[in-house]
Amino acid sequence: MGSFLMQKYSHAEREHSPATLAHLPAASTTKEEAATPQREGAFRGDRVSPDTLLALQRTHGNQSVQRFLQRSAATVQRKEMRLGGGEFLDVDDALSKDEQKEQIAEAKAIIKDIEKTYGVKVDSKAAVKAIFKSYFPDGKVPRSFKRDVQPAPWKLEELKNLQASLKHYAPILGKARKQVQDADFQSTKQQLKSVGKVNLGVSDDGAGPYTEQDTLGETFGEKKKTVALMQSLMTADHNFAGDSSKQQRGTTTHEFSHALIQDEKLDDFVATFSDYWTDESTAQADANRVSTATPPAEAPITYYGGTNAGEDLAETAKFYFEAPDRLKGGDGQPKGTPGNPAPRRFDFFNKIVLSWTNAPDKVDAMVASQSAVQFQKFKDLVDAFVALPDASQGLDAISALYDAITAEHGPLRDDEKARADVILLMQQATDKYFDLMVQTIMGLIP
Amino acid sequence: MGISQTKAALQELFDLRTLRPDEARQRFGLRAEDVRGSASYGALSGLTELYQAETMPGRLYYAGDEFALLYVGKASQFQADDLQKALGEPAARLRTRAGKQFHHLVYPDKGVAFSRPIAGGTVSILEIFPPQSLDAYKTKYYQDPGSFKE
Repeated sequence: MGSFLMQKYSHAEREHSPATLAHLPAASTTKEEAATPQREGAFRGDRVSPDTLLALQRTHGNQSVQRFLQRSAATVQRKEMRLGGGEFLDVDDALSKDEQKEQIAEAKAIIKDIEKTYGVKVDSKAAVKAIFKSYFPDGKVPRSFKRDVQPAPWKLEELKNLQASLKHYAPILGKARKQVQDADFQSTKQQLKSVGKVNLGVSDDGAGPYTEQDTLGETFGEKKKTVALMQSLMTADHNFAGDSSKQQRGTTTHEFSHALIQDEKLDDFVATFSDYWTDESTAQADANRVSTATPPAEAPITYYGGTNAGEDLAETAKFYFEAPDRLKGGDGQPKGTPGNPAPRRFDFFNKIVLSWTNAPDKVDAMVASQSAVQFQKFKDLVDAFVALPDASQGLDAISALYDAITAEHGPLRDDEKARADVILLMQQATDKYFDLMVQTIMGLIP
Repeated sequence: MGISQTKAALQELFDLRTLRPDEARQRFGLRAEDVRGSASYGALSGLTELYQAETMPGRLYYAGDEFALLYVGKASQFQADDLQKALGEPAARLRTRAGKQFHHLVYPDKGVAFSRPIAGGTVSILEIFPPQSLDAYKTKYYQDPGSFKE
Protein backbone atom coordinates (compact mmCIF):
# COMPACT_ATOMS: atom_id res chain seq x y z
CA MET A 1 0.00 0.00 0.00
CA GLY A 2 2.88 2.31 0.92
CA SER A 3 4.63 1.90 -2.42
CA PHE A 4 1.33 2.41 -4.25
CA LEU A 5 0.82 5.66 -2.44
CA MET A 6 4.34 6.84 -3.08
CA GLN A 7 4.11 5.92 -6.73
CA LYS A 8 0.98 7.93 -7.25
CA TYR A 9 1.96 10.89 -5.15
CA SER A 10 2.90 14.03 -7.01
CA HIS A 11 3.03 17.68 -6.02
CA ALA A 12 2.03 18.68 -9.54
CA GLU A 13 -1.00 16.52 -9.86
CA ARG A 14 -4.37 16.04 -8.25
CA GLU A 15 -6.08 12.77 -8.91
CA HIS A 16 -9.79 12.17 -8.63
CA SER A 17 -12.60 9.82 -9.32
CA PRO A 18 -15.07 10.70 -12.07
CA ALA A 19 -17.59 11.63 -9.43
CA THR A 20 -15.32 14.07 -7.71
CA LEU A 21 -14.09 15.43 -11.00
CA ALA A 22 -17.60 16.50 -11.70
CA HIS A 23 -17.10 18.79 -8.70
CA LEU A 24 -20.72 18.50 -7.85
CA PRO A 25 -21.67 17.19 -4.45
CA ALA A 26 -22.98 13.71 -5.15
CA ALA A 27 -25.88 12.34 -3.17
CA SER A 28 -23.69 9.69 -1.62
CA THR A 29 -20.99 12.07 -0.46
CA THR A 30 -20.83 14.54 2.33
CA LYS A 31 -20.12 18.18 1.59
CA GLU A 32 -16.63 17.70 3.00
CA GLU A 33 -15.98 14.88 0.60
CA ALA A 34 -17.37 16.79 -2.32
CA ALA A 35 -15.32 19.83 -1.52
CA THR A 36 -12.07 18.01 -0.81
CA PRO A 37 -10.69 17.76 -4.33
CA GLN A 38 -10.95 21.49 -4.78
CA ARG A 39 -8.37 22.18 -2.17
CA GLU A 40 -4.74 21.76 -2.84
CA GLY A 41 -3.07 19.66 -0.19
CA ALA A 42 -6.35 18.07 0.79
CA PHE A 43 -6.16 14.58 2.21
CA ARG A 44 -6.52 12.13 -0.62
CA GLY A 45 -5.27 8.57 -0.31
CA ASP A 46 -3.83 8.64 -3.78
CA ARG A 47 -1.60 11.63 -3.15
CA VAL A 48 -0.65 11.68 0.52
CA SER A 49 2.51 10.23 1.95
CA PRO A 50 2.50 7.33 4.43
CA ASP A 51 3.62 9.73 7.17
CA THR A 52 0.61 11.90 6.53
CA LEU A 53 -1.63 8.91 6.58
CA LEU A 54 -0.20 7.84 9.92
CA ALA A 55 -0.90 11.30 11.25
CA LEU A 56 -4.43 11.05 9.90
CA GLN A 57 -4.80 7.69 11.57
CA ARG A 58 -3.75 9.18 14.91
CA THR A 59 -6.22 12.04 14.67
CA HIS A 60 -9.18 10.35 12.95
CA GLY A 61 -8.80 6.68 13.81
CA ASN A 62 -8.41 3.46 11.87
CA GLN A 63 -11.89 3.27 10.43
CA SER A 64 -11.73 6.73 8.92
CA VAL A 65 -8.37 6.06 7.32
CA GLN A 66 -9.58 2.72 6.02
CA ARG A 67 -12.64 4.30 4.39
CA PHE A 68 -10.44 7.03 3.02
CA LEU A 69 -8.04 4.60 1.42
CA GLN A 70 -10.78 2.39 0.03
CA ARG A 71 -12.43 5.31 -1.59
CA SER A 72 -9.20 6.56 -3.11
CA ALA A 73 -7.83 3.25 -4.33
CA ALA A 74 -11.09 2.40 -6.04
CA THR A 75 -11.57 5.63 -7.89
CA VAL A 76 -8.31 6.92 -9.33
CA GLN A 77 -8.98 7.25 -13.05
CA ARG A 78 -8.34 10.86 -13.87
CA LYS A 79 -6.04 13.47 -12.51
CA GLU A 80 -5.60 17.18 -12.43
CA MET A 81 -2.31 18.48 -13.68
CA ARG A 82 -1.06 21.92 -12.85
CA LEU A 83 -1.03 24.43 -15.70
CA GLY A 84 0.33 27.37 -13.75
CA GLY A 85 -1.47 30.46 -12.57
CA GLY A 86 -3.69 28.37 -10.31
CA GLU A 87 -5.27 26.50 -13.24
CA PHE A 88 -5.44 22.73 -13.57
CA LEU A 89 -6.04 20.40 -16.48
CA ASP A 90 -8.22 17.35 -16.03
CA VAL A 91 -6.51 14.51 -17.90
CA ASP A 92 -7.29 10.86 -18.37
CA ASP A 93 -4.90 8.85 -16.23
CA ALA A 94 -5.02 6.05 -18.80
CA LEU A 95 -3.12 8.22 -21.28
CA SER A 96 0.60 7.67 -21.59
CA LYS A 97 2.91 10.13 -19.89
CA ASP A 98 3.85 11.55 -23.29
CA GLU A 99 0.21 12.04 -24.23
CA GLN A 100 -0.44 13.73 -20.91
CA LYS A 101 2.55 16.00 -21.47
CA GLU A 102 1.25 16.86 -24.92
CA GLN A 103 -2.12 17.81 -23.48
CA ILE A 104 -0.48 19.94 -20.82
CA ALA A 105 1.65 21.71 -23.41
CA GLU A 106 -1.35 22.34 -25.64
CA ALA A 107 -3.44 23.63 -22.76
CA LYS A 108 -0.67 25.98 -21.67
CA ALA A 109 -0.28 27.23 -25.23
CA ILE A 110 -4.00 27.96 -25.47
CA ILE A 111 -4.01 29.85 -22.17
CA LYS A 112 -0.99 31.85 -23.31
CA ASP A 113 -2.60 32.62 -26.66
CA ILE A 114 -5.84 33.70 -25.01
CA GLU A 115 -3.99 36.19 -22.85
CA LYS A 116 -1.64 37.43 -25.55
CA THR A 117 -4.10 37.63 -28.46
CA TYR A 118 -7.31 38.55 -26.71
CA GLY A 119 -6.12 40.27 -23.54
CA VAL A 120 -8.10 37.83 -21.43
CA LYS A 121 -6.61 35.93 -18.52
CA VAL A 122 -7.72 32.41 -17.74
CA ASP A 123 -8.23 32.84 -14.02
CA SER A 124 -10.64 30.58 -12.18
CA LYS A 125 -9.79 32.03 -8.78
CA ALA A 126 -10.84 35.45 -10.07
CA ALA A 127 -14.14 33.92 -11.17
CA VAL A 128 -14.76 32.54 -7.69
CA LYS A 129 -13.90 35.91 -6.18
CA ALA A 130 -16.31 37.63 -8.56
CA ILE A 131 -19.11 35.29 -7.53
CA PHE A 132 -18.52 36.02 -3.87
CA LYS A 133 -18.27 39.75 -4.47
CA SER A 134 -21.60 39.79 -6.29
CA TYR A 135 -23.58 37.66 -3.87
CA PHE A 136 -21.85 38.69 -0.63
CA PRO A 137 -21.23 42.38 -1.24
CA ASP A 138 -20.49 42.93 2.45
CA GLY A 139 -17.51 40.60 2.06
CA LYS A 140 -18.78 38.17 4.68
CA VAL A 141 -18.65 34.90 2.76
CA PRO A 142 -19.82 32.00 4.91
CA ARG A 143 -17.32 29.23 5.43
CA SER A 144 -19.61 26.71 3.71
CA PHE A 145 -19.55 28.75 0.49
CA LYS A 146 -15.78 29.14 0.63
CA ARG A 147 -15.57 25.40 1.04
CA ASP A 148 -18.07 24.43 -1.64
CA VAL A 149 -17.52 26.99 -4.40
CA GLN A 150 -14.11 26.38 -5.92
CA PRO A 151 -12.14 26.73 -9.14
CA ALA A 152 -12.60 23.67 -11.32
CA PRO A 153 -10.04 21.98 -13.56
CA TRP A 154 -10.36 22.46 -17.31
CA LYS A 155 -10.53 19.77 -19.89
CA LEU A 156 -8.48 20.40 -23.01
CA GLU A 157 -11.60 20.48 -25.16
CA GLU A 158 -13.10 23.14 -22.89
CA LEU A 159 -10.07 25.36 -23.33
CA LYS A 160 -10.29 24.88 -27.08
CA ASN A 161 -13.94 25.86 -26.99
CA LEU A 162 -13.11 28.92 -24.90
CA GLN A 163 -10.47 29.93 -27.42
CA ALA A 164 -12.91 29.40 -30.30
CA SER A 165 -15.54 31.55 -28.58
CA LEU A 166 -13.06 34.37 -28.05
CA LYS A 167 -12.10 34.16 -31.70
CA HIS A 168 -15.63 35.19 -32.63
CA TYR A 169 -14.94 38.54 -30.99
CA ALA A 170 -11.32 38.81 -32.13
CA PRO A 171 -11.63 42.23 -33.83
CA ILE A 172 -12.69 43.87 -30.56
CA LEU A 173 -10.25 42.04 -28.30
CA GLY A 174 -6.65 42.70 -27.34
CA LYS A 175 -4.48 44.71 -29.66
CA ALA A 176 -6.92 44.22 -32.54
CA ARG A 177 -9.42 46.51 -30.79
CA LYS A 178 -7.24 49.49 -31.66
CA GLN A 179 -8.06 48.85 -35.31
CA VAL A 180 -11.81 48.45 -34.79
CA GLN A 181 -13.84 50.57 -37.18
CA ASP A 182 -17.10 50.84 -35.23
CA ALA A 183 -17.23 54.11 -33.30
CA ASP A 184 -19.13 52.52 -30.41
CA PHE A 185 -16.18 50.24 -29.75
CA GLN A 186 -13.51 52.80 -30.60
CA SER A 187 -14.63 54.96 -27.72
CA THR A 188 -14.73 52.21 -25.10
CA LYS A 189 -12.18 49.89 -23.56
CA GLN A 190 -12.36 46.11 -23.58
CA GLN A 191 -14.28 45.15 -20.48
CA LEU A 192 -13.65 41.42 -20.37
CA LYS A 193 -10.45 40.72 -18.46
CA SER A 194 -10.71 37.16 -17.20
CA VAL A 195 -12.55 33.89 -17.64
CA GLY A 196 -12.58 31.06 -15.15
CA LYS A 197 -14.14 27.71 -14.52
CA VAL A 198 -16.03 27.14 -11.29
CA ASN A 199 -17.58 23.98 -9.85
CA LEU A 200 -20.88 25.49 -8.63
CA GLY A 201 -23.02 28.51 -9.28
CA VAL A 202 -24.48 30.79 -6.63
CA SER A 203 -27.91 32.33 -6.82
CA ASP A 204 -30.00 34.50 -4.54
CA ASP A 205 -33.71 34.69 -5.32
CA GLY A 206 -34.34 36.99 -2.39
CA ALA A 207 -34.08 34.66 0.55
CA GLY A 208 -30.29 34.59 0.60
CA PRO A 209 -27.48 33.03 -1.44
CA TYR A 210 -27.37 29.32 -2.13
CA THR A 211 -25.22 27.08 -4.30
CA GLU A 212 -26.78 25.55 -7.37
CA GLN A 213 -26.08 23.69 -10.59
CA ASP A 214 -28.56 25.55 -12.83
CA THR A 215 -26.27 28.37 -13.85
CA LEU A 216 -24.12 27.51 -16.84
CA GLY A 217 -22.23 30.77 -17.13
CA GLU A 218 -22.34 34.21 -15.60
CA THR A 219 -20.81 37.62 -16.21
CA PHE A 220 -19.77 39.63 -13.19
CA GLY A 221 -19.06 43.16 -12.20
CA GLU A 222 -20.54 46.47 -13.17
CA LYS A 223 -17.78 46.69 -15.76
CA LYS A 224 -18.33 43.07 -16.76
CA LYS A 225 -14.72 42.15 -16.23
CA THR A 226 -15.09 38.51 -15.31
CA VAL A 227 -16.92 35.58 -16.83
CA ALA A 228 -17.42 32.35 -14.89
CA LEU A 229 -18.17 29.14 -16.73
CA MET A 230 -19.71 26.55 -14.46
CA GLN A 231 -18.97 22.86 -14.30
CA SER A 232 -22.63 22.21 -15.19
CA LEU A 233 -22.05 23.79 -18.61
CA MET A 234 -19.61 21.09 -19.55
CA THR A 235 -22.32 18.46 -19.93
CA ALA A 236 -25.23 20.74 -20.88
CA ASP A 237 -26.83 20.61 -24.32
CA HIS A 238 -30.16 22.40 -23.88
CA ASN A 239 -29.74 24.52 -27.03
CA PHE A 240 -27.80 22.00 -29.09
CA ALA A 241 -29.11 18.54 -28.29
CA GLY A 242 -26.37 15.96 -28.10
CA ASP A 243 -23.59 18.47 -28.70
CA SER A 244 -22.22 19.71 -25.39
CA SER A 245 -19.17 21.13 -27.12
CA LYS A 246 -21.38 23.42 -29.20
CA GLN A 247 -23.31 24.31 -26.05
CA GLN A 248 -20.06 25.27 -24.34
CA ARG A 249 -19.14 27.58 -27.17
CA GLY A 250 -22.70 28.88 -27.40
CA THR A 251 -22.99 29.71 -23.72
CA THR A 252 -19.49 31.19 -23.64
CA THR A 253 -20.33 33.30 -26.68
CA HIS A 254 -23.55 34.33 -24.91
CA GLU A 255 -21.61 35.48 -21.84
CA PHE A 256 -19.14 37.35 -24.02
CA SER A 257 -22.05 39.25 -25.52
CA HIS A 258 -22.90 40.48 -22.01
CA ALA A 259 -19.26 41.39 -21.44
CA LEU A 260 -18.30 42.77 -24.83
CA ILE A 261 -21.38 43.91 -26.76
CA GLN A 262 -24.16 44.77 -24.35
CA ASP A 263 -22.96 48.13 -23.08
CA GLU A 264 -22.17 49.35 -26.59
CA LYS A 265 -25.19 47.99 -28.46
CA LEU A 266 -28.12 47.30 -26.12
CA ASP A 267 -29.81 50.66 -26.60
CA ASP A 268 -29.62 50.23 -30.35
CA PHE A 269 -30.94 46.67 -30.01
CA VAL A 270 -33.93 47.81 -27.94
CA ALA A 271 -34.66 50.62 -30.40
CA THR A 272 -34.41 48.23 -33.36
CA PHE A 273 -36.73 45.73 -31.70
CA SER A 274 -39.08 48.22 -30.11
CA ASP A 275 -41.96 46.20 -31.54
CA TYR A 276 -41.03 43.49 -29.00
CA TRP A 277 -39.09 45.36 -26.29
CA THR A 278 -40.66 48.31 -24.49
CA ASP A 279 -37.27 48.86 -22.89
CA GLU A 280 -34.38 46.68 -21.83
CA SER A 281 -36.38 44.92 -19.10
CA THR A 282 -39.92 44.77 -20.37
CA ALA A 283 -41.38 43.10 -23.42
CA GLN A 284 -44.67 43.63 -25.19
CA ALA A 285 -45.35 39.97 -24.66
CA ASP A 286 -47.55 37.65 -22.66
CA ALA A 287 -46.51 35.34 -19.85
CA ASN A 288 -45.15 32.89 -22.43
CA ARG A 289 -43.06 35.66 -23.96
CA VAL A 290 -45.19 35.61 -27.10
CA SER A 291 -45.43 38.98 -28.82
CA THR A 292 -48.69 40.79 -28.10
CA ALA A 293 -48.19 43.20 -31.00
CA THR A 294 -50.50 43.13 -34.01
CA PRO A 295 -49.22 41.70 -36.27
CA PRO A 296 -46.86 39.73 -34.02
CA ALA A 297 -43.33 41.08 -33.80
CA GLU A 298 -40.26 38.91 -34.30
CA ALA A 299 -39.62 37.27 -30.92
CA PRO A 300 -36.25 36.14 -29.51
CA ILE A 301 -34.69 32.99 -30.87
CA THR A 302 -35.17 31.23 -27.51
CA TYR A 303 -37.59 31.47 -24.61
CA TYR A 304 -34.67 32.45 -22.38
CA GLY A 305 -33.95 35.36 -24.71
CA GLY A 306 -37.31 36.78 -23.65
CA THR A 307 -36.05 37.31 -20.09
CA ASN A 308 -34.79 40.77 -20.91
CA ALA A 309 -33.24 42.53 -23.90
CA GLY A 310 -29.69 41.80 -22.71
CA GLU A 311 -30.44 38.09 -22.72
CA ASP A 312 -32.12 38.44 -26.11
CA LEU A 313 -28.99 40.06 -27.54
CA ALA A 314 -26.79 37.39 -25.92
CA GLU A 315 -28.93 34.57 -27.30
CA THR A 316 -28.76 36.24 -30.69
CA ALA A 317 -24.96 36.22 -30.42
CA LYS A 318 -24.99 32.57 -29.39
CA PHE A 319 -26.96 31.50 -32.45
CA TYR A 320 -25.33 33.97 -34.84
CA PHE A 321 -21.98 32.37 -34.23
CA GLU A 322 -22.92 28.78 -33.50
CA ALA A 323 -26.10 28.16 -35.50
CA PRO A 324 -26.75 31.05 -37.91
CA ASP A 325 -29.20 29.04 -40.00
CA ARG A 326 -31.31 28.36 -36.92
CA LEU A 327 -31.23 32.04 -36.02
CA LYS A 328 -32.48 32.97 -39.47
CA GLY A 329 -34.81 30.03 -39.93
CA GLY A 330 -36.01 29.47 -36.38
CA ASP A 331 -36.80 26.32 -34.46
CA GLY A 332 -40.25 25.75 -35.91
CA GLN A 333 -42.19 28.33 -33.93
CA PRO A 334 -44.54 30.82 -35.60
CA LYS A 335 -43.64 34.48 -35.82
CA GLY A 336 -44.05 36.18 -32.48
CA THR A 337 -43.21 33.09 -30.43
CA PRO A 338 -39.70 32.47 -29.06
CA GLY A 339 -37.97 30.06 -31.43
CA ASN A 340 -39.46 31.78 -34.46
CA PRO A 341 -37.30 32.68 -37.47
CA ALA A 342 -35.29 35.72 -36.41
CA PRO A 343 -33.76 37.14 -39.60
CA ARG A 344 -33.90 40.69 -38.24
CA ARG A 345 -31.88 39.64 -35.23
CA PHE A 346 -29.41 37.94 -37.56
CA ASP A 347 -29.10 41.12 -39.58
CA PHE A 348 -28.67 43.20 -36.45
CA PHE A 349 -25.77 41.12 -35.22
CA ASN A 350 -24.32 40.73 -38.68
CA LYS A 351 -24.07 44.49 -38.99
CA ILE A 352 -22.24 44.66 -35.67
CA VAL A 353 -19.72 42.05 -36.75
CA LEU A 354 -19.16 43.66 -40.13
CA SER A 355 -18.77 47.04 -38.48
CA TRP A 356 -15.79 45.82 -36.48
CA THR A 357 -13.66 45.42 -39.54
CA ASN A 358 -15.55 47.63 -41.93
CA ALA A 359 -15.27 44.64 -44.21
CA PRO A 360 -16.77 46.10 -47.39
CA ASP A 361 -14.18 48.87 -47.29
CA LYS A 362 -11.50 46.25 -46.87
CA VAL A 363 -12.67 44.58 -50.02
CA ASP A 364 -12.55 47.88 -51.83
CA ALA A 365 -8.98 48.36 -50.63
CA MET A 366 -8.05 44.90 -51.81
CA VAL A 367 -9.64 45.54 -55.15
CA ALA A 368 -7.83 48.85 -55.48
CA SER A 369 -4.54 47.21 -54.62
CA GLN A 370 -5.06 44.86 -57.57
CA SER A 371 -5.54 47.69 -60.03
CA ALA A 372 -3.92 45.77 -62.86
CA VAL A 373 -6.80 43.37 -62.81
CA GLN A 374 -10.42 44.06 -63.58
CA PHE A 375 -12.14 43.11 -60.38
CA GLN A 376 -15.46 44.81 -60.80
CA LYS A 377 -17.38 41.59 -61.30
CA PHE A 378 -15.60 40.14 -58.33
CA LYS A 379 -16.49 43.14 -56.20
CA ASP A 380 -20.11 43.10 -57.31
CA LEU A 381 -20.42 39.49 -56.34
CA VAL A 382 -18.83 40.07 -52.97
CA ASP A 383 -21.21 42.94 -52.36
CA ALA A 384 -24.10 40.72 -53.37
CA PHE A 385 -22.87 38.02 -51.06
CA VAL A 386 -22.69 40.40 -48.12
CA ALA A 387 -26.31 41.34 -48.67
CA LEU A 388 -27.57 37.79 -48.84
CA PRO A 389 -29.92 36.72 -46.08
CA ASP A 390 -28.91 33.10 -45.77
CA ALA A 391 -26.05 30.71 -46.17
CA SER A 392 -27.54 28.63 -48.97
CA GLN A 393 -27.74 31.71 -51.14
CA GLY A 394 -24.21 32.44 -49.98
CA LEU A 395 -23.10 29.13 -51.44
CA ASP A 396 -24.58 29.99 -54.80
CA ALA A 397 -23.01 33.42 -54.71
CA ILE A 398 -19.58 32.13 -53.81
CA SER A 399 -19.89 29.48 -56.48
CA ALA A 400 -20.70 32.21 -58.97
CA LEU A 401 -17.83 34.26 -57.58
CA TYR A 402 -15.48 31.37 -58.10
CA ASP A 403 -16.68 30.91 -61.65
CA ALA A 404 -16.35 34.61 -62.36
CA ILE A 405 -12.79 34.70 -61.11
CA THR A 406 -11.79 31.67 -63.09
CA ALA A 407 -13.52 33.06 -66.20
CA GLU A 408 -11.62 36.30 -65.83
CA HIS A 409 -8.24 34.99 -64.80
CA GLY A 410 -8.15 31.45 -66.00
CA PRO A 411 -7.84 28.46 -63.72
CA LEU A 412 -6.89 29.19 -60.15
CA ARG A 413 -3.74 27.82 -58.63
CA ASP A 414 -3.92 24.08 -58.18
CA ASP A 415 -7.44 24.08 -59.48
CA GLU A 416 -8.80 21.02 -57.78
CA LYS A 417 -7.39 21.86 -54.38
CA ALA A 418 -8.41 25.48 -54.72
CA ARG A 419 -11.95 24.49 -55.51
CA ALA A 420 -11.97 22.17 -52.50
CA ASP A 421 -10.75 25.01 -50.31
CA VAL A 422 -13.44 27.31 -51.59
CA ILE A 423 -16.11 24.65 -51.17
CA LEU A 424 -14.99 24.10 -47.59
CA LEU A 425 -15.32 27.81 -46.95
CA MET A 426 -18.67 27.82 -48.68
CA GLN A 427 -19.87 25.16 -46.29
CA GLN A 428 -19.02 27.48 -43.45
CA ALA A 429 -20.58 30.29 -45.38
CA THR A 430 -22.24 32.95 -43.41
CA ASP A 431 -21.68 36.60 -43.91
CA LYS A 432 -19.28 36.69 -40.99
CA TYR A 433 -16.81 34.59 -42.96
CA PHE A 434 -16.94 36.50 -46.15
CA ASP A 435 -13.85 38.55 -45.42
CA LEU A 436 -11.91 35.37 -44.80
CA MET A 437 -13.32 33.87 -47.97
CA VAL A 438 -12.34 36.87 -50.03
CA GLN A 439 -8.83 36.77 -48.67
CA THR A 440 -8.57 33.08 -49.32
CA ILE A 441 -9.88 33.36 -52.84
CA MET A 442 -7.53 36.25 -53.52
CA GLY A 443 -4.72 34.05 -52.30
CA LEU A 444 -5.66 31.40 -54.80
CA ILE A 445 -5.18 33.69 -57.77
CA PRO A 446 -1.83 32.94 -59.34
CA MET B 1 -29.32 62.35 -3.76
CA GLY B 2 -29.65 61.71 -0.01
CA ILE B 3 -32.49 60.01 1.83
CA SER B 4 -34.64 63.12 2.17
CA GLN B 5 -34.21 63.98 -1.51
CA THR B 6 -34.96 60.40 -2.41
CA LYS B 7 -38.17 60.55 -0.40
CA ALA B 8 -39.15 63.80 -2.08
CA ALA B 9 -38.43 62.43 -5.57
CA LEU B 10 -40.41 59.31 -4.76
CA GLN B 11 -43.33 61.39 -3.48
CA GLU B 12 -43.43 63.25 -6.79
CA LEU B 13 -43.89 59.92 -8.53
CA PHE B 14 -46.49 58.80 -5.99
CA ASP B 15 -48.45 61.98 -6.72
CA LEU B 16 -48.87 60.90 -10.35
CA ARG B 17 -51.19 58.14 -9.11
CA THR B 18 -53.92 60.71 -8.66
CA LEU B 19 -53.79 61.94 -12.26
CA ARG B 20 -56.64 60.97 -14.50
CA PRO B 21 -55.73 60.12 -18.12
CA ASP B 22 -56.94 63.45 -19.53
CA GLU B 23 -55.04 65.33 -16.80
CA ALA B 24 -51.90 63.36 -17.61
CA ARG B 25 -52.28 64.14 -21.32
CA GLN B 26 -52.54 67.82 -20.54
CA ARG B 27 -49.79 67.93 -17.93
CA PHE B 28 -47.23 66.17 -20.11
CA GLY B 29 -48.32 67.72 -23.41
CA LEU B 30 -49.05 64.35 -24.97
CA ARG B 31 -49.88 63.92 -28.62
CA ALA B 32 -52.09 61.23 -30.11
CA GLU B 33 -49.04 59.10 -30.96
CA ASP B 34 -48.03 59.11 -27.27
CA VAL B 35 -51.15 57.17 -26.33
CA ARG B 36 -51.30 53.45 -27.02
CA GLY B 37 -54.38 51.31 -26.51
CA SER B 38 -54.55 47.58 -25.89
CA ALA B 39 -51.34 47.71 -23.85
CA SER B 40 -50.47 45.09 -21.28
CA TYR B 41 -48.27 44.78 -18.24
CA GLY B 42 -47.82 41.61 -16.25
CA ALA B 43 -51.20 39.94 -16.16
CA LEU B 44 -53.01 43.18 -16.85
CA SER B 45 -54.24 43.71 -20.38
CA GLY B 46 -56.51 46.11 -22.21
CA LEU B 47 -54.63 49.02 -20.67
CA THR B 48 -54.02 52.44 -22.12
CA GLU B 49 -50.36 53.46 -22.09
CA LEU B 50 -49.34 57.11 -21.98
CA TYR B 51 -45.69 57.81 -22.69
CA GLN B 52 -43.55 60.59 -24.00
CA ALA B 53 -39.85 60.10 -23.29
CA GLU B 54 -38.97 63.80 -23.16
CA THR B 55 -41.63 64.94 -20.73
CA MET B 56 -42.59 61.95 -18.60
CA PRO B 57 -40.64 60.14 -15.87
CA GLY B 58 -42.12 56.81 -16.94
CA ARG B 59 -44.99 55.05 -18.61
CA LEU B 60 -48.45 55.60 -17.18
CA TYR B 61 -50.95 52.78 -17.56
CA TYR B 62 -54.70 53.12 -17.06
CA ALA B 63 -57.49 50.58 -16.94
CA GLY B 64 -60.23 52.73 -18.36
CA ASP B 65 -59.90 55.95 -16.39
CA GLU B 66 -58.39 54.23 -13.40
CA PHE B 67 -54.67 54.50 -12.63
CA ALA B 68 -53.01 51.10 -12.89
CA LEU B 69 -49.27 51.68 -12.90
CA LEU B 70 -46.38 54.07 -13.31
CA TYR B 71 -43.51 52.07 -14.76
CA VAL B 72 -39.96 53.41 -14.94
CA GLY B 73 -37.69 51.03 -16.82
CA LYS B 74 -34.42 52.51 -15.63
CA ALA B 75 -34.78 54.66 -12.52
CA SER B 76 -31.10 55.52 -12.41
CA GLN B 77 -31.84 58.74 -10.53
CA PHE B 78 -32.34 56.56 -7.45
CA GLN B 79 -29.52 54.90 -5.57
CA ALA B 80 -30.80 51.50 -4.51
CA ASP B 81 -29.50 51.77 -0.95
CA ASP B 82 -31.07 55.20 -0.50
CA LEU B 83 -34.42 54.11 -1.86
CA GLN B 84 -34.40 51.04 0.33
CA LYS B 85 -33.58 53.13 3.39
CA ALA B 86 -36.38 55.51 2.51
CA LEU B 87 -38.91 52.70 2.19
CA GLY B 88 -37.71 50.36 4.95
CA GLU B 89 -37.94 46.59 4.93
CA PRO B 90 -39.84 45.19 1.95
CA ALA B 91 -42.71 42.76 2.31
CA ALA B 92 -41.04 40.51 -0.20
CA ARG B 93 -37.77 40.09 -2.06
CA LEU B 94 -38.26 38.33 -5.34
CA ARG B 95 -36.16 37.48 -8.36
CA THR B 96 -36.48 39.95 -11.18
CA ARG B 97 -36.30 40.10 -14.94
CA ALA B 98 -33.74 42.87 -14.51
CA GLY B 99 -31.11 40.18 -14.00
CA LYS B 100 -29.71 37.37 -11.89
CA GLN B 101 -27.69 39.71 -9.72
CA PHE B 102 -30.74 41.81 -8.84
CA HIS B 103 -33.58 41.59 -6.33
CA HIS B 104 -37.10 42.87 -6.71
CA LEU B 105 -38.21 44.55 -3.48
CA VAL B 106 -41.95 44.83 -3.04
CA TYR B 107 -43.80 47.24 -0.74
CA PRO B 108 -47.40 46.43 -1.71
CA ASP B 109 -49.03 48.43 1.07
CA LYS B 110 -47.10 51.51 -0.09
CA GLY B 111 -47.79 50.78 -3.74
CA VAL B 112 -44.18 50.56 -4.86
CA ALA B 113 -41.74 47.90 -5.99
CA PHE B 114 -38.28 48.17 -7.48
CA SER B 115 -35.40 46.08 -8.76
CA ARG B 116 -31.97 46.69 -7.36
CA PRO B 117 -28.53 45.19 -7.88
CA ILE B 118 -27.68 42.94 -4.93
CA ALA B 119 -24.25 44.54 -4.71
CA GLY B 120 -25.60 48.11 -4.83
CA GLY B 121 -25.95 50.67 -7.57
CA THR B 122 -28.85 52.40 -9.19
CA VAL B 123 -32.44 51.24 -9.35
CA SER B 124 -33.52 49.36 -12.42
CA ILE B 125 -37.24 48.63 -12.69
CA LEU B 126 -39.48 50.92 -10.61
CA GLU B 127 -43.20 50.27 -10.35
CA ILE B 128 -45.71 52.53 -8.62
CA PHE B 129 -49.22 51.17 -8.31
CA PRO B 130 -52.30 51.49 -6.07
CA PRO B 131 -51.60 50.07 -2.59
CA GLN B 132 -52.74 46.48 -2.35
CA SER B 133 -51.89 43.11 -0.83
CA LEU B 134 -48.74 41.22 -1.76
CA ASP B 135 -50.80 38.44 -3.32
CA ALA B 136 -52.67 40.93 -5.47
CA TYR B 137 -49.39 42.50 -6.57
CA LYS B 138 -47.95 39.11 -7.48
CA THR B 139 -51.06 38.16 -9.40
CA LYS B 140 -51.44 41.36 -11.35
CA TYR B 141 -48.02 42.95 -11.78
CA TYR B 142 -45.19 40.58 -11.01
CA GLN B 143 -43.40 38.83 -13.85
CA ASP B 144 -41.30 35.96 -12.56
CA PRO B 145 -38.31 35.57 -14.89
CA GLY B 146 -37.63 31.99 -13.82
CA SER B 147 -34.12 30.89 -13.02
CA PHE B 148 -31.23 32.51 -14.83
CA LYS B 149 -29.04 29.95 -16.54
CA GLU B 150 -26.69 32.14 -18.52
